[in-house]
This record gives sequence, C-alpha cells and structure tokens, in this order.
Amino acid sequence: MSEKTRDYIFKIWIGISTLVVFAVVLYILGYIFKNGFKSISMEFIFGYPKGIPIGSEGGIFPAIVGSLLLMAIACLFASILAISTAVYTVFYCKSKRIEGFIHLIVQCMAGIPSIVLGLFGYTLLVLYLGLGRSLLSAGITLGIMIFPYIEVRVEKTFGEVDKFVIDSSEALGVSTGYMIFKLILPLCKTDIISAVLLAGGFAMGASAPIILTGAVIFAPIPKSLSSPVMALPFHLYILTGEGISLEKAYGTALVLIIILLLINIIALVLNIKGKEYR
Amino acid sequence: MDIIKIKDLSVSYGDKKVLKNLSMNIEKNKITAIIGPSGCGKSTLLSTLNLTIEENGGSFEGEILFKDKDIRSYKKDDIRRMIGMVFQKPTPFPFSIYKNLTYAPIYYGIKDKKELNSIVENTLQKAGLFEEVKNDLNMKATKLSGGQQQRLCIARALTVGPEVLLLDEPCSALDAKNTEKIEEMLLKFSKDYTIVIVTHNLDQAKRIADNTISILDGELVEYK
Amino acid sequence: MKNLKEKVFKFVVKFLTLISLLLLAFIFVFIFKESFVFFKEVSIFKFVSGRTWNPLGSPDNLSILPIILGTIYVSLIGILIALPIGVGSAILLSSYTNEKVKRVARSVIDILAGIPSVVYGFIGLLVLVKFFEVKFSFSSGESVLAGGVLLSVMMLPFIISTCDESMEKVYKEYHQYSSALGVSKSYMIRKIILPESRKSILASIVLALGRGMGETMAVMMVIGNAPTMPKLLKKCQTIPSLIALEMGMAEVGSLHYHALFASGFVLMLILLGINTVLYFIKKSMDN
Repeated sequence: MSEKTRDYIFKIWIGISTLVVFAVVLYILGYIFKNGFKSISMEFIFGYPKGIPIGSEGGIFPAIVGSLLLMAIACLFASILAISTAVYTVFYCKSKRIEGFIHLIVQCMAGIPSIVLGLFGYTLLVLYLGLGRSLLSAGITLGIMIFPYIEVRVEKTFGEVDKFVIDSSEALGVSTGYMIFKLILPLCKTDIISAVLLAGGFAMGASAPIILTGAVIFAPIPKSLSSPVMALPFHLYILTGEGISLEKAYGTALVLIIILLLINIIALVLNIKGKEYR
Repeated sequence: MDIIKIKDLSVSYGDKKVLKNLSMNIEKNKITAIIGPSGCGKSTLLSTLNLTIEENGGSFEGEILFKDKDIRSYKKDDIRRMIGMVFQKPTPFPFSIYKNLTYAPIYYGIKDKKELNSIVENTLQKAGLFEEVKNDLNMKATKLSGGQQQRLCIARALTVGPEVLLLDEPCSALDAKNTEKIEEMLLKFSKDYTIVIVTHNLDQAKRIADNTISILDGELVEYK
Repeated sequence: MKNLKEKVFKFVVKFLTLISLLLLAFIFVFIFKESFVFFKEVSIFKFVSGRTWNPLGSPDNLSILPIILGTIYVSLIGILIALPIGVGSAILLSSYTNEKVKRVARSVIDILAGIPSVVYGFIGLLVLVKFFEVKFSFSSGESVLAGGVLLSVMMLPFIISTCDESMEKVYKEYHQYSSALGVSKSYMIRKIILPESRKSILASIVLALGRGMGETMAVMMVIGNAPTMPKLLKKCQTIPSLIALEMGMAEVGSLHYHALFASGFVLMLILLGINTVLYFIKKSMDN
C-alpha cells in the first residue's frame, strides 16, 4: 500500500470520526431543545406536580428546588473535604510516598460506580446512622461522589501557583497556614469556585446515588435536612419509566440541561476572569 | 556560483518587521556564517529559507531565488528536501537510531532494505557518528549523549539528500568538545553541501566560515 | 498566639484529610460487610457462575453470571464503537486545528461529558430503541446493542480528551523537526504521534471501561432488564441496573437485599481487576 493511499485512508478516518462526534452533539442538544420547548412555561417551572398519575400535569418546581439544595449540600460537604485534602497534599505533606498514597486513594474513589456509592449511602447514612431517606443522606452521598473531582482540580490549581510566590512568602517567615489563607486561597479563588460549580453540576445530574438515599417520586419542598426530596434527574426517570407524561419529560430534560449549561457558562466565565489576574 | 540569491527581503510577524530589505547571496558548497546578537532575526532568516515562516505566523516579501528560480515556485516539501535544517535543541525522534534515519527515506518511498541500510551508514559516516554507534543501531536515540544526539539530527537532515544545510546555532547547547567535533564535520563535508550556519559565537564563525554575514536589528551590516 | 493558630489550622487540615481518606475504607468495609452476609449463605463461586437470578425463589437461585456478562458485553460494544471514533477525532483536534477552534471544540466535548446519564437514557429510549424497532423491525429495540451504542456516545468525551491532551504534547514536541524533513503531517502522526500515544489510548480505554461498567441510569433505560445470558440483539441486564431496580423492592436484611450488595461488591472486584491488568500492561509498555 503506497504512502499516498495510507494518507488518504487516514484522512478519511479522522474526518469521519470528527463529523460523527459533532453530529451527535448537535443532534442531542437539538432534540432536547426542540421537543422540550413546548412544555416550558411559567407554570411548569414554578408549579407543583398535579394530575393522576401525579406529574402528568402541573409543574416541577419542587424538583428544581430539590436539585439545587442537593447540589448545595453536596458541594459544601465535598469542598470542605477536598480543599483540605488538597491543601494538605500540596503544602503540608513532606513525604512523596504519602502523597502518592493519597493520590491513589482519591483515584480509587473516583472509580467507584455511583450506584455502589448509593448502596453505601443507603447502608451507612439511611440505615446505620438513622438519617433516613433525606436531603442530608442524599446530599452527602452525592458529596462523596464529587469529592475526587474537586480534589484533583484544586490540587492542580495549587500546583499552578508560581513557585516564586510561595518561596517569597516563606522567605518572609510567614507560617504556612497564614500564607494559605491570605495568599494562596485568594489567588486561586476563582478556579476553586469554578471547580466546585462544575462538580455541583455533575452532582445535580446524577440519579444513582440518590435513588436509594433520598429521592422520591413526589414530595413538597423539603422543610428540613431530614425530609425526602424530589430531584430533576429522578423525576425525569419516573416520568419516562412509568410512562406518565412524555411531554413533561421533555420539559424536565430541557430544564435540567439549561440549568447545567448555565452552571457551565458561569464556571467558564469565572475561569476566564481568573486567568486575567495571573 | 550562488545557490541562493536574496534581494530586498523583508520578513514580518504580523505588524512587526523582523528583517528589513536584506540582500545577500549564498555561495554554493561553501560555509556561510550568519552572526549577530540574539533576537536580531537570524533564525527568522533560516525559517524563511525553508518556507516554515508562514506556518509560524509570519510573512515575507522580496525576492528569494533558489537555483535561479523563485523559491515560491517550488513545492514546500520539495524545498525542504533540498534545503535541510538542523535546530538548536537536539531532538531525536522517540525511536531507535536506525529508525530515526529511515523515517524520511521511507516516506519518500524507499523500501529496499539494502538501500536504507546504505543511507543509514552513509549519513552516520558523514556526521562522524558511525564508528561510535555502528553496533547499537537499534538503541533508542534518546539514550545518546547531547553531542551525539545533535550529530544524529545532522545525519537525519542529510538522509533526504539536501543541497543546502541550514543550521540554527547547532552547538549552543553543547560543550566545547562536541562543538569541535561538529565544526570538524561541517568542514569535512562542506565541499558536498552548501552550509548556512547561524551562530552568536564570532570565534566559531572565524574558524569555519568562508563567508560571514552580520545582521543587526534585522538589517544587514557586514558582508565578508 | 500565631503559633497556636498555625497549629490548630494544621491539625484541622490533617484531620479533614484523614476523614476523606477513611471514606474509601468505610465504603469498602460497609459494602463488604453487607455482602459477606450473603456469601455465608451462598458461596461466591456459585454466585458468580450460576445462571439464574430469581429473587423470589430459593437462595440457590441468586446468581449473576449472565448479569456479569451483560455488564461486560455492553461496555465492550461501547468501547469498540467509541475507540476508533474517539481516537480519530482526538488526532484531528490535536494536530490539525488552531487554538481558537481547539477552545470551541474542547468546550463542546465538555458539554457532551456533562449531559446527565438519565438524559442519555431518555434519548436512548426514545430515539435509539425506537429506531431499532422501526427500521429493523425488532420486536423490542431494548438490547445489548442499544446499550452499547448509547454507552459509546457517553464514552467519547473521555477518550477524546485523554488522547487529545497527550497527542498535542507529542505534536508540539516533534512537529518542527519532522516538517523540516519535508514529510507530511499525516506521516508524522502515523509514525510518531500514534505510537507515542499508546499509553494514553490505553489509559482512556480503562477510564471508559470503568465508566461504562459503572453506568447505571442510561444503560438501565435501554437494555430491557432481563437477567438472561446476553445476546447482541436481545435484552440483558447489568449489575448497576440490577441494583438500582431491585434495591427498592428488597426487604432490608433479606437475602435478596444482601445479594444486591454482593453484586455491587463483585462489580468493584471486576473494576479492580481491569485496573490492575492495565497497570501491568502499562508497566510492560514502559520497557
């Protein structure tokens, strides 16, 4: 086979691959937007599910609120742990072996299937700790899921801080903790926030961890951390799986995607703004 | 005979003019040194001669004649076969010495094992590297020392049979001993190839060059 | 005073890090604990090699071989489809586009990665499954194939971004030297970039397989959930779908309940196995 033929086949291969990828993306987005558009209305976004079976009419407001609350709790839980771990690994850990060990553990956690995390959340939080199917149980379970995501990104951000900055701070005799609070965190603020936001988006779209730990088919807006909660992805699943309402399902999917797109855009803007200061 | 004739060459990156109204000739089968301080445009001149300037975001105007024909009338890949280039940083490809040297010939359609072997031996001889590596041709090229790697890169540039060899500060990353070896090599095969070497080392230019061109701030200053 | 503050801060940071790390241990311990109850009744060997899953029958009928196979089969199809497309796109993205296009393309890929799995399942059900039923007149479009195709779409962004990152590095490193020899870009990619990228292509396979086998919602909605031996065009079941579907109906503490934990445990073992095998392949590639 001559070089010319090889070159030709190669170019066809990469061309078609790329076309396929973009066609798929466009199709998916187009499909959801086109079909979901009709169902979107003020009533849909702010109303409660109604009808028989429930959800076939009305709106999805409790699911929207539920998803946002879940995301908030997950982000809070995960970022406290993840940022601490990143701080420890980058600034306090002196042994390369321990550092490698921590990386290994974080990687393992990232590899745990979300349904297994759901099982864990169920047995530990719902049953063993008696928290029951609640906002808290589901939020923490989601938090465990996004913990590695945030940790890896925050560690990377810390790693990108100019060595000279750290050395200069040390030369002034300032303690590590002071430096982290006054220098590093403000410097990395936007990147950290954007990482947490993106992780939150990831959490918001997940269903498997919350099926067993807190999501229910119908619930009012949770009054406390121990109430069960509705969530958009789960609601979508129920509407589809139980064949309740295709129309509302399209609408739910579209609302979910739009919220995620908004989160992504905010994170992107933060990213760009953050780069300006470095 | 002048193999390259340059008249009124101006090279710019965007709005910034790096070389201004340069006119000079490169004599065939002689060593021409281009000297000048850092950043005055020497490397830009080289990348214009092998037509990579446009890929790097620059453009040029003026006349460049290669073998008395406008350089733009040749195909880019043909120019690069005829005008080879060696860079400052020795960068062998991530495979064996042998494969580094057969990389280009295979592309050009040479399949015969014997022919490939002779190209490998030939170019290694010219680069003065053959005796040192002849028993280890399958060794990964990155295991060679810095000086050997650079000589490999020179051998690699020779595998396509160029008429002109451009060298952009080839010895700046090397120690004195390796520099000496390379200068020796260039002197040896300068009767078969036209050599254009960019250097910021005046002594090097004095040692090996037949002609010297000085460039300052993008303009030709001296022509010896 | 300052010293005390620093000490407290350091302690808090260390403590929180420890908790994070212990989480992993906790997860393993709890899952294993609940699975162990099951393995006391039914040997792990029987569990993994038996062919019937019938939670309403006697304990001997709780075995998951077809479900393990289904999990692997669906992911394998996914990789088979996604790998050539993903690597091909990564090549084009890393070596044939300029900075502006790259930024846009990478954001688009991120969008693909950010679509929730339930939305994929939703579209898979309405589009893919329906497509199979209409165009090819399958009695039911729900099948291994549907799951595989859907998974391949979900795997694409991971494969593309992993490969793209490393290919771009290799391209930047050698491009100058190769083009100075008058050699074409596609030759350089075939001879230098692809071989150098073997490690990252392998890594992306592991990543994608891991995701695919752990994927719950999307797969669950299109494979038909029948715990029978998987055939390409027939319904099947995967471990994550099994757990998600049946956990709600299993009585806490019942054998069924513990069997579901046991299957989650087996899933983790399989994933561990894949990661280990690939770790050793990587090591041997370094030599």
